[in-house]
Amino acid sequence: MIVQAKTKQRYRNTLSGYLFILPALGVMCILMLYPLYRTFFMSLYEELSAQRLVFVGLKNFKEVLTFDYFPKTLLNTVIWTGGVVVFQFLAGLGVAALLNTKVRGIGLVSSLVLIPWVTPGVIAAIIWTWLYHPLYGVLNEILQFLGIVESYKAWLAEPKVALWAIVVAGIWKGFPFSMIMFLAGMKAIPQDLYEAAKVDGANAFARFWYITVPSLAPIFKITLLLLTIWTFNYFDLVYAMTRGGPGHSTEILATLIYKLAFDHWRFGSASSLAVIMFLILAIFTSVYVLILTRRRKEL
Amino acid sequence: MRSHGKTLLARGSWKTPLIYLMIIVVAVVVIFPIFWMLISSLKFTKELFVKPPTWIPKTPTLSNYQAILQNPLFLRYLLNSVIVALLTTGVSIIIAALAGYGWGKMRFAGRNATALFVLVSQMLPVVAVVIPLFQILRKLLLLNTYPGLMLTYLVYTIPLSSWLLKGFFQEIPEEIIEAAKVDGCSHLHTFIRIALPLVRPAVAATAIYCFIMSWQEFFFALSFMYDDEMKTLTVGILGFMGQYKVSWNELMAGSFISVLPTAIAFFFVQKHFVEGLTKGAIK
Repeated sequence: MIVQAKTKQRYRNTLSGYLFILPALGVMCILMLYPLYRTFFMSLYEELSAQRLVFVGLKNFKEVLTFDYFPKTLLNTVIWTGGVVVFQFLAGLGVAALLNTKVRGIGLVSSLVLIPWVTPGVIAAIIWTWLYHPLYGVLNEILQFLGIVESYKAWLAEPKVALWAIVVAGIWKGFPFSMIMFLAGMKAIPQDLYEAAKVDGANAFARFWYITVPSLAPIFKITLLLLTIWTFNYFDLVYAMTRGGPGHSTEILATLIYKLAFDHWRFGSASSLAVIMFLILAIFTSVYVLILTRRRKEL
Repeated sequence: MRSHGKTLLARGSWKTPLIYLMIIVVAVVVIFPIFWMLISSLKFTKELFVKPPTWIPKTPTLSNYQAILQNPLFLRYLLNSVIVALLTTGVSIIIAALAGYGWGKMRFAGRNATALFVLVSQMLPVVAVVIPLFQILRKLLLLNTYPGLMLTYLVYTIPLSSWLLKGFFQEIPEEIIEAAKVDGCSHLHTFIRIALPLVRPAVAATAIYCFIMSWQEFFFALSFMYDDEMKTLTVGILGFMGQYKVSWNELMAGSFISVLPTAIAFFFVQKHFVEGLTKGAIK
């Protein structure tokens, strides 16, 4: 009797537990997991109208892989992701180290440097487009004053520099996230470690390199992964600043998928490109996690 | 958390001014784009197009704010953004609070697995699901509607907000929940009457997080709200850029108005939010 009642109780607990999480679970399944499956499905079809789908096999993949600007788009995606992630990481680390000092007014500065992060991506894009303005951009004025450029440049219209100009805006927009993570990590490091190192005669650099960096290693790993995933998927800045242009010189996978889908209404081709994008990210993430877990075992 | 951050700083040595200098340089560089937006928004068009640019407006004016706030389209975008953001926040909080309580305070098989699934699913690229979402909304006749956009925004808000709340529910002492159960309260009753009031500040912080997320969203809004009447602020204001009808100084005024609500909201919950964000990573 008692055993039976206990089983019944456990069963009821499980049931009510699931009732609580059902809405959240349902939302993510219906709006994320099912659509992901549909993207794979759609990549093999062509949509003739809202009601008519035609199976075309791998034709969509063949089409997008043979776009003459596909290699360029892939390279741009790597440059965009790599550039933004590396420099956000370094900027975040540098600023965190600087803000981890106890001087007066540090609280205010710590709050102020978070502003880029709460600025909507599109607004950041508009501000930076104005800063880069070829005729009246203040950045041109500053760079000319410093002697870095001889005359005003149209940063976003020159194929060779446009992508890097957007990368700079991207670094500005997102670095506070790394900073928050690193700063929190630094504050959790026991102070005695530094005191002991100081007694042993280690200078500030040595203390940073041999105490701060190793202590932050776990945070570095998760931050790098998150930054890479987010930046790889990030659409707003590139689209708002250049729409992938001029030509396809700043095209990344995200902007190309959007344009194929909603400018040209090519849902099939756009889906096949989305599948490629998903697979790249999935492979990267698996390899990253695999390498990290294996290294931990060796140690 | 103990913090005696003096890692780079030797007490009262020559290094202190250097640190100050570096902090000031960093702050200036980071704030400059925002500062320039504000400066440009306060200039008359004539002064805006002076070469070299003036650092402080000679004749500061609020006329750009007046102009943009009298633009009926801008007001419409503003209204749309407010409605979608409030709707998203309300629905997200209900769903996330239920889930957070379920994961944080109830014992059942699959508890950790489902929680992890929701957290990880947030990392899936939204670009990879935008087409099916468009097709789903089209089928349900929810394109160009507030509820349609709100539904897709849940994808952004649910994972992190339910995890944030899960953490806060877990901090409620087990005895309080047990006591309620002994008194014969149902799960739902315990949740609403006992647990929820205890985490009220956390719910407020999470609500602000949801509001910020939907306020700054661009990709789904661009894809699902293509009628001019239904565009949100981010999509609408980008449409203004490069138009002759809206000049750069008005655009900067409009941008400043768009940044303001989220910036203010964020500073109220900054501490809460940063804690919640970094707690998981550091442990």
